[in-house]
Amino acid sequence: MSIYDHLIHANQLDNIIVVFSDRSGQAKNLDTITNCLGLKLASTSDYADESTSCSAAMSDADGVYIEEFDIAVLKSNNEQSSQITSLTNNPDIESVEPDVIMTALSQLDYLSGLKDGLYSGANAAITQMRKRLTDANSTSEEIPHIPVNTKYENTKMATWGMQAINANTSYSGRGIKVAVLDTGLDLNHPDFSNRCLVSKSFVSNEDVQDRNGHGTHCIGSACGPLHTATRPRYGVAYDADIYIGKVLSNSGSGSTSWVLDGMRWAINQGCEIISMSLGSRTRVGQGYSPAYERVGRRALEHGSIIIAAAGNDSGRPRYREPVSSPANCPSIMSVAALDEDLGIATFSNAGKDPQSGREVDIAAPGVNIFSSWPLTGMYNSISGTSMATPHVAGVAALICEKYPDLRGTDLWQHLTRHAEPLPHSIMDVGAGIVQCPL
Amino acid sequence: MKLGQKKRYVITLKEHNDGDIAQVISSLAACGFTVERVMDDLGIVTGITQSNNIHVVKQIQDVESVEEDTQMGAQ
Repeated sequence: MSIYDHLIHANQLDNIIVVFSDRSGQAKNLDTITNCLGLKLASTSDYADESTSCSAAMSDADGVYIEEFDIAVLKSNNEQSSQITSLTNNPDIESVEPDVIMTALSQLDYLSGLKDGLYSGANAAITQMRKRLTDANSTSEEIPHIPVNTKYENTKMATWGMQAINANTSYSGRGIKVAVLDTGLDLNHPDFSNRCLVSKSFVSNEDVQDRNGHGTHCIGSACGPLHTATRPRYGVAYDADIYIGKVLSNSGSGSTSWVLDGMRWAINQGCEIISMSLGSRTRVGQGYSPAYERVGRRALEHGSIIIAAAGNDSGRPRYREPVSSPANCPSIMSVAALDEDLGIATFSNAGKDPQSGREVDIAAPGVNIFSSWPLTGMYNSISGTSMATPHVAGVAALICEKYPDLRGTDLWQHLTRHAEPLPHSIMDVGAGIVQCPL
Repeated sequence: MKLGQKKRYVITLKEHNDGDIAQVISSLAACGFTVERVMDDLGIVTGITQSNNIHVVKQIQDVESVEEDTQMGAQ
């Protein structure tokens, strides 16, 4: 069963996108839909007034034909799913795919918004979805399929996050250097007593000891132990070398100067993975920081990958905020957060800047994440794209161990190509949920 | 003339200048920019100056961009 079929069965789709070939005209295309499916479509050519809402146009029909792009957006209907799938055999139709665009634009009221959104994103989205479908079919033996209706729970053996990324592999991150740039680590935590730790503080008048908790939690998710005395497994790369760069103070904030210094240190230490669960809010159209982009690019050139949190400024479903800085840099991998249903976390930011072309690159567990915490509590469950980011960093370490020649840009591509696609907009979850190598 | 508020800035230099950063440092100092950190391997300089001095800093040869040092927070 293909991912497409899963989506249909799970009733996750609101709409289906049909892309016609260039050679067929509007009249023929509309006839194709009517004859094959018995559906009546509205056409954008019928709505000269661009203030007409898409939803209004669709309310009186079974879908909308967008003349400018030779694309039809059909309302999904389980009874017609097999007929819709059969459209793929029609020579005038290039593809039939889940409506990833409509999900992203569902909060836009106007047809002009739909057109703009399709114009800027449809080709990339459709190409990517097609590639994902191809990849998923061709590598189905390598990538375990995650049913879209999965509900994960913490067990005695492993947290829900470890289960969702398939952390139960033979790889441990041994020999790989993972830097976590954050509030430091509780150096007295027993779960890290036997680990290789290298540390440096870039915060004025503060040592590496974490008196906040955020850094200890993030390091736990990325590199926590395989076994604890009484708790489930919560760390991915349990045998990796841990490089602790304190760039955020014990109050949980820090300057760009400190962060840049920490990034430079991690690159020069030869860390293959640099995890940054930090950021600052951005506005749509703001663009990315040239300084962070410079460091991100240099990191890739030196065989390091920088992975950063997409940010927690959204309040879904009411509003979605753009990806934070520095995760919005093209050369820094941005990570969105998922909940236990593999839904998008309500706070998780989205790729919304058409000028920079930035999107979320990948997603990982980020809600109710159990991990290490400074002593007295020892453990804690918290939420954020901060929690999703070290999951990706840990997986990257396992991939580095499995493939010694895969670093930098190649590692980036491996992470995204082997992520499991999700039935959400790529603007929200990128390539999908990160997956450990088998 | 008001000097403007003192702020910390991050300056990114043009790529080709990475090997010859001394001249830029000298020019920055000459226009009242207090250099704090030089990351010559990255082509990045951080430091402090008055906010109304930034338009002068941006005119220095081989300066690609000038950004205010943004506060980062745990996410």
